[in-house]
Amino acid sequence: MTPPPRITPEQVAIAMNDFPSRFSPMLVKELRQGMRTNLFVVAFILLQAVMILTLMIGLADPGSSAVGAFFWFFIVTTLLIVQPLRGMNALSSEIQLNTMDLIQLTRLDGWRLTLGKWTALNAQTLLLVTGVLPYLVIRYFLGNVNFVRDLVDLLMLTLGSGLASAITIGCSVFRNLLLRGVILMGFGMGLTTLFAALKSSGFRTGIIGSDFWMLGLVCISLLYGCFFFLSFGASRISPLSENLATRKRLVALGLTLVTAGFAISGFTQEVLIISGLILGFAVIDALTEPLPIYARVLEPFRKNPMTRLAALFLAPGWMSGIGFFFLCALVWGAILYFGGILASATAGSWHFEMAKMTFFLSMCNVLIFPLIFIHLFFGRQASVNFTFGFYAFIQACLLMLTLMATVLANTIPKYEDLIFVAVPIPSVLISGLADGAADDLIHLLIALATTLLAAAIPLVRHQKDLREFRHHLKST
Amino acid sequence: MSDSLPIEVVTGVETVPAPTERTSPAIEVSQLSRWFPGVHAVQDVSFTVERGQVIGFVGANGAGKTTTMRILATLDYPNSGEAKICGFDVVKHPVEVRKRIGWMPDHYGTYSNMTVLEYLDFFARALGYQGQERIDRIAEVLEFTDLTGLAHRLIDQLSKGMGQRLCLGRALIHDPEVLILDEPAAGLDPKARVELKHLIRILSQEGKTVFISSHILSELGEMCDSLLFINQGRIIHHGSAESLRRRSSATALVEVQLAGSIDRLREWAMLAPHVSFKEATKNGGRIEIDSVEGEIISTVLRRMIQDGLPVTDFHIQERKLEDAFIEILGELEASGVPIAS
Repeated sequence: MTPPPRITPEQVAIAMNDFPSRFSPMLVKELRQGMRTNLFVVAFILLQAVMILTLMIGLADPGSSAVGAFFWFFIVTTLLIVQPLRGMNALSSEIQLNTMDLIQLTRLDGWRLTLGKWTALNAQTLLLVTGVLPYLVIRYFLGNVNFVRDLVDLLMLTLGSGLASAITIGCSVFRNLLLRGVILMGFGMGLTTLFAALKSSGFRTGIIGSDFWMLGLVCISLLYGCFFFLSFGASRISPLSENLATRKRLVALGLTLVTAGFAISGFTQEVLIISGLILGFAVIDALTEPLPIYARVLEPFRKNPMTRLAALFLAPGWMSGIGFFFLCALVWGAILYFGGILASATAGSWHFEMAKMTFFLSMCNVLIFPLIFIHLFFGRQASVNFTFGFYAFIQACLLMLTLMATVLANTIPKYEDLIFVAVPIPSVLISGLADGAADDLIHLLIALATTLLAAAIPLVRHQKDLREFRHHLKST
Repeated sequence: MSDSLPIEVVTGVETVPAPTERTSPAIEVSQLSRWFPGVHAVQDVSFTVERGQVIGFVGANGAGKTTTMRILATLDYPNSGEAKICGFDVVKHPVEVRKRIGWMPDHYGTYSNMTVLEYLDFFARALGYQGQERIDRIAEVLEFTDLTGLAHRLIDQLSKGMGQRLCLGRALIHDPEVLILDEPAAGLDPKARVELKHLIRILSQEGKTVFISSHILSELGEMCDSLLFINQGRIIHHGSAESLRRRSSATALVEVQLAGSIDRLREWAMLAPHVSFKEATKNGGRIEIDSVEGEIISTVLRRMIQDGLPVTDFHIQERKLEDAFIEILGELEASGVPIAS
């Protein structure tokens, strides 16, 4: 047998000079791997073939709207479905291949890993988009097409693909396909609400027209969406000693305040919804984080009384997540108050409206309510992903229960009786409020009591951890 | 979850200590414990490994080997006790420890759609190597692991043995002082085992400390300066292979080959003092002499011949490490200590 040929550093250098050293290792790795996958190669060739086909049909029948629809259908499918779906196994594959330990021993952390994967996927999307650009130009010369509008639409699709990829990569941390599906649906519903509130044309009119404020809101939403989902995945694959929580929570609060600033331009309703969604996502994430009571993690919070106070809201883990929940409720409450939602102005003074207060409390309560079940019955589960999965499962069950209660209540004459039985469930209370059947003081108190109970039960159940948390914050 | 968390207080964010780095042992473990809900994986484990030594870590499945190794590799936290690599605490200074260790897990992780060269390049980049230094490190590792001819082959197409060599190469990219290898020979064919053993021997000659776990005791015995036995999370023996053999060898096992029937040997052994018949072999049998002293053994041989046994071969069998290990476990079991399965 002949010995294998020797490889010299020069040969290694030639083989490995495709990407500069300063590029993120994960980006380089993902690009090398990604460009070889059959899905990318097939998508690229297929897209080019379809573009040529549509152009040929366009030449035969210039100005046909069917050709335009056909042209955009394939671009939309590739950018919004095929490319994001390639991120579905991004993080779970690292876990399954047992490579997370190896990566943890390098200088890469969970965030750089996730960001690298996302950047690589979007770089490939950009490659596909670049391949489409010449056809956009040719379409213009064929006539009956607004080139700038097409270009803006393509940009919107590219950004949308970036957000969708962030969602799939973030959710790919869960190995259970059903759970991934449920979470994707949940987030999808949230984002649909968001973009419905922002008006779908906001981005286009923001660039082409003068609707800059709306463009700003859309950009903030996209930016936070990508950041949230990538951080969501990153924090669930990182070792517990890595603190990604503080940054996530500060970014959510910061962007909420920036969003609130848009209210001065008159976008009150949009601001309320966007700030609510930003804080809502951040709170869900905070309440389902594992609890790393390592002295090393809490060390930066030990410096002075201010940092110790900040730890109650910003330290990693669900325990400070409860503090963060109250802080976010306060911030959102303030935005609602100044937006004139919680109170009404009469003759120069402000009056709180009972039903709206109950609604606000119940909305907050929806986020924290599942903690009662998690910590009452499954508080000792050690799995990092278990809490979030269980949280999602409880939310799905509560949603079903609410739907059932509403349907039953509408068929039973004594509506009030039923609503009183199930009213501690926040979503049922919201349903009752929507029907105008729960706008008195008792319901407000029930909403308040349930919220406090949901926050107290986990802390009571984990007194030992609470003591340890306080001990690490105090010890010098 | 809280039950599995460490409670020790750490002072300060990672600052690079340093004073005893060169003189301190390669691995220093002191009263290390790690428990998970319902399981005490590691209990009060203490041992020291000097620089340049090759240490075998032996134990049944679930004995606590991997947990101990993961703590040493900064991939897990101890609940109590401490572990140091080259003088750096694995909990307080994980970054410093990671610079000094090369970790090879039992199930190595590799990627699809990636060549050998790209795999090593990824880890070299991730470890912070840039420019020419990165290129040199990759070339050096490829040559050491003899993967130069496979540099452009996809990892999916590598055999298990080649894959293990690649994984060892990955662990060596940053030229670590201490190598922690968890079952590196598991699932390898004999040829790949010999190759791996050869590489480990070279590494040991280069002065690297190798901490290696395996089920194949005979191989560890040849390779290692000393062996560390763990059972139910506790260290039950620490010493060289020879000391282990001696520890459990109050008796000598002798293989006897006869020209005639084995029954004669059996009958003779029943009557002879200091001797008991153990088992029959193809042309004779094994007898156990209740002493390891040469004088007594030669007396037994003399008496055999005097009594007319047609002996064609008589030699003391070297005690297998596996037997010695099982004897230690037997002693523990007899004294009421539970044994890991």
